[in-house]
Amino acid sequence: MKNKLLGILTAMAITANAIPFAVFAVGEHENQVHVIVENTTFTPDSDDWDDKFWYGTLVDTWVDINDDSTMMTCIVEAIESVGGTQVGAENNYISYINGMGEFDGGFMSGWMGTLNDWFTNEGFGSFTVAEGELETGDEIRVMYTCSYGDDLGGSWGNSDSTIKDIVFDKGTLSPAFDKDTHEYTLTVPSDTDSILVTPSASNKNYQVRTRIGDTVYKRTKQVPVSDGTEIIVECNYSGSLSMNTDGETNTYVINIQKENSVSAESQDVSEILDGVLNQLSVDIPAPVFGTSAGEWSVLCLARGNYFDKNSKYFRDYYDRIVATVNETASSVNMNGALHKVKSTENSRLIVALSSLGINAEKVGDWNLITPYNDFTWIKKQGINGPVWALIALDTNNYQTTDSTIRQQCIDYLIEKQTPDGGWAMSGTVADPDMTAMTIQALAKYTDDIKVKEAVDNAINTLSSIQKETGGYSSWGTINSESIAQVIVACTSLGINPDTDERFVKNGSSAVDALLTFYNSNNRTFSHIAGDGGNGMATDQATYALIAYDRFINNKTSLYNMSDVDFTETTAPTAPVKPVEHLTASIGIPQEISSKKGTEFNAVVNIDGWNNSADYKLMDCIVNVPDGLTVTNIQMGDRVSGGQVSWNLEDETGKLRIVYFDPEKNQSINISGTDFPAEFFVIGFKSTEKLTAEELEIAVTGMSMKFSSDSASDVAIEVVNTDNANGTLKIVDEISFSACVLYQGDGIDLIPENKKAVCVAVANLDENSALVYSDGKNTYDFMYSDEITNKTGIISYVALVDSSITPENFINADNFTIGTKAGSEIVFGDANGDGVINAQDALNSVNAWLRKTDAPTDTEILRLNVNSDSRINTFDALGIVEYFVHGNEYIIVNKAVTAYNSVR
Amino acid sequence: MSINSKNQEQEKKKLNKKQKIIISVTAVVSVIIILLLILLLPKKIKNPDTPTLTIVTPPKQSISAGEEFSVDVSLSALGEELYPAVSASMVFDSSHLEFTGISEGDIMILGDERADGNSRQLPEWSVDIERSNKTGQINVMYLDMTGGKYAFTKECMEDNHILMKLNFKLRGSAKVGDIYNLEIKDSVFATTDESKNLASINDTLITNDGKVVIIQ
Repeated sequence: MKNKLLGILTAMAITANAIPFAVFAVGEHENQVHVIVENTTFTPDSDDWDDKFWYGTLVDTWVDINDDSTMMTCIVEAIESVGGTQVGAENNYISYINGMGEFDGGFMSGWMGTLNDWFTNEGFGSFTVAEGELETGDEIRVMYTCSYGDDLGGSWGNSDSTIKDIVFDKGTLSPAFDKDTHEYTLTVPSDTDSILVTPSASNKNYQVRTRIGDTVYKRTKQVPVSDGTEIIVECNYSGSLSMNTDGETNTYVINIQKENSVSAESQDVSEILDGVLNQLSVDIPAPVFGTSAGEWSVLCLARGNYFDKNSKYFRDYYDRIVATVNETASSVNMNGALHKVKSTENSRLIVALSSLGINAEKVGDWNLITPYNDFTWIKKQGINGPVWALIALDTNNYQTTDSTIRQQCIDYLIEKQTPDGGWAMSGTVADPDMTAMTIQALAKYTDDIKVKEAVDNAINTLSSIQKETGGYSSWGTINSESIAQVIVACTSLGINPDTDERFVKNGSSAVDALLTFYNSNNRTFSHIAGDGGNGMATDQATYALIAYDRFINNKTSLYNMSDVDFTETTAPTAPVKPVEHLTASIGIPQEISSKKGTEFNAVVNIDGWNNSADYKLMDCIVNVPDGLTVTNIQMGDRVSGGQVSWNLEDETGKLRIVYFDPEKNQSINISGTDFPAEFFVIGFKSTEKLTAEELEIAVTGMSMKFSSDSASDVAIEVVNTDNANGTLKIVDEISFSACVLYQGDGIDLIPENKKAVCVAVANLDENSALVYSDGKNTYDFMYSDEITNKTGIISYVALVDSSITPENFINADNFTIGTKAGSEIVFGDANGDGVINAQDALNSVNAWLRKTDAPTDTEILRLNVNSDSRINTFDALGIVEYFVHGNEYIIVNKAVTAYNSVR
Repeated sequence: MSINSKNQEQEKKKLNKKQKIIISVTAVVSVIIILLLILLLPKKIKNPDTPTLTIVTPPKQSISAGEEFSVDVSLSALGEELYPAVSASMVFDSSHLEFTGISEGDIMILGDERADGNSRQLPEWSVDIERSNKTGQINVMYLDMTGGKYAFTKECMEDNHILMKLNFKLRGSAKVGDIYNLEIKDSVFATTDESKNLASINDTLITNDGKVVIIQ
């Protein structure tokens, strides 16, 4: 009993109830410890109870400590501070406190005590300030037990070294704590800098500690946290003390996640990546040797698995490369070097060829590896040369005759590291691009302690120079390319650039930052946020996303091409279809008149298109409901290469459409870069008065064929038509349907509180002035001949207050239809002179440049031809493309398809 | 006074009345003609100072040659403004002529200064050959996205006058003796201050059509 009842005190009952564990701000109690003396177990209803005993808390106070203080002196001082007495402190064993002593509550009763919720394994006098066992803020709790401590949570009877509970002063724990679950996420408010972690052992005979890394925090101290902090709580850890001899170590991990910050889970970028790769393949139909529209684009399409390595796209590229290499290497006349000074010309091409599984030792008449035997040539460009030499040589483990070349490159790079731990083309201040690229080159060599040290420093440098937005600045400009290189560098080292706390600032990761440069309108990346798409920025951002996507999907890193098949293959006998699947959608009016003879159109759009696929034929079936017939099929203006034929089978309502070139078997092409693109328009007409409430039109069985060989598995690509169906509502009277074309974002000329609305009026035969008035707002809607012709339904547009809900625009009570024709709008006719020409395109440019006054509502409607939230140079290009190529404005197609989205 | 002399006197009076009427009518007609001339002359008579865009009729084309030939589109002058955007819509008979593209003229635009100190450059026109042949209308445009850094100017034009060259081939359907008109439907040299542009729609740019004559 003496061994266990290390500190027994006597005391008198002062309060009626036990005071639960209380937390005090340590800062207010510098050089003090918290002492509580209490009896919560020996109760007045006990058979052994006597009126001289006491129940509750005798004292709960803070006691000053000095170098001579021990747990015992603090306890004595606390008791005396309330006039209490004790017996035995001088012998390091307290038997009575205020008249209540050992065995008064039974043969297993007496006084016990915890230091920071742990039943000390020695007498209270053994824990001293001098030895560092007692510190500011510590909590000493002296308690009366009736069962050797079992009733207080400490026991010799078991070796349960789990944690019973952990209390946090902030946040929500997920999942709820269970002693057998060892990993948790604690979500805390975004402004949280520190939390109080209060763990309780299942058996308080075991010590518990809380730590981050090697730093231990007592249960009374605030634990500093940031997003991604990993807090470890351990019980019976190695080196801990206990009166019990058994028990294993139990470890609990708590991951801190701040609200509104990035998810601890890596974000999925595959959808964006699919779109960018598709757009890249369209924008760069025939890549050539070069930094622009060349090797980097090929690398993206190959490492992003967009095209098969034996695809026509890559085979044609390689044919062009062979011709270029033969000509250029002959001209340079330096053993296969493609430039007298720039070894990166060879390196860039080697990287691209490796991504295609093509051996760079035999390209045309030349071995592109041979010149790497000359280190002088490699380093002529400064560190850029050795960086890319290493990356290129390692893509296929190419060997140089001079076996020291790689080491020379490594040594050169280590020597050139800047004092702040990075690399730069010149100067002594780390540049993020060069630092990141050098890490990419050295990542494979971190087994070398010098390399590892250099790379570790560089990673810390990259982390430290990351901006608050998660981005990076190079040459004074925050740009996408720098972020892209950092992402590639991180993934080459196995660091997640989206979740690793070193690359997350203010909740924004490097990946988040890169995505702010993405322009969803044209599926490109800009160099500077808000600018238009840029080829180099798009290349680098795309392969950075590929590197990241490969990383989170456990694939090899971007430049580790051990997954690429380098065995030589013969050209396939049939073109290889692209990985991307085509998708069709349909746009139809929301409502049509029930009158016999009503005409309207359905627009079928296609997405995922690539001219390189060499499609030869399109066919499909459209289900045409009873009461309708087909008047015409018109292929989109951008579609070429075939002739359309069709037939409507009256008995079944099946409309069969085929488009191909019966004479020359040409490939089907779609010009332009904006997708989805209008594929064809079906003209419908009602053959009788329509009595049904609704009619459904659906495109089914659409496919693109590469050849007539039906046995070939690559002869056909089925088009996804899941969204190529729609329902028409049949109405007898004037009826309004509406869709939102766009809403301003307040950035480029379209105010945030304005949106463009298109209203179609069924059962209206011609343009009549249309006025909207809901009692608060009044707008003159403008007739659009373009949208009307596209849908077949009289249609109007207006720029309105964005707070007006769509329901208001289908409420006939809000409209007045005049007897005369209303004003008309022509999209793209910026100056309203009735002609679309260079003046309109220039007006669009000048509006964006703010050289002219802010556009009026009508001018906004005329100018924003691509129907996004801004007026900018994309609209100017839209006007040029309309004028020169006849490309339909996006807004017109959107007016048709948007109805489906708001049904 | 004899009766005859009385009659003679009356005849004289009648004659004077007729003469007066003729003179009056003549005067009114003259005034109308003068007014019409005043109203119409500015539009129909070409002021040598008004910039003029002309499709220059090429030499007669031999149907047997079968080769590509070019048609100059010339510009007489420019105003004092910067013209960052230019467009022209030109109609041709696509059933007999095949439009094959545009060649450079000699009128240059502002550009970046190069190593040789020269900063002028030729404009890059946007045109769609396939669509032009499909529609029988050549829509050509130049747009300086900077709004002026690469603009057409009077200074850049110097003594040059060929804006561009339209290239054609005769189709098999072309016949000896046929004349195929080349018509400028619309053209504008656009300016930031739109009121100072040169545009056919507001007669600040005069246009002259051309033709292709087919011979044996």
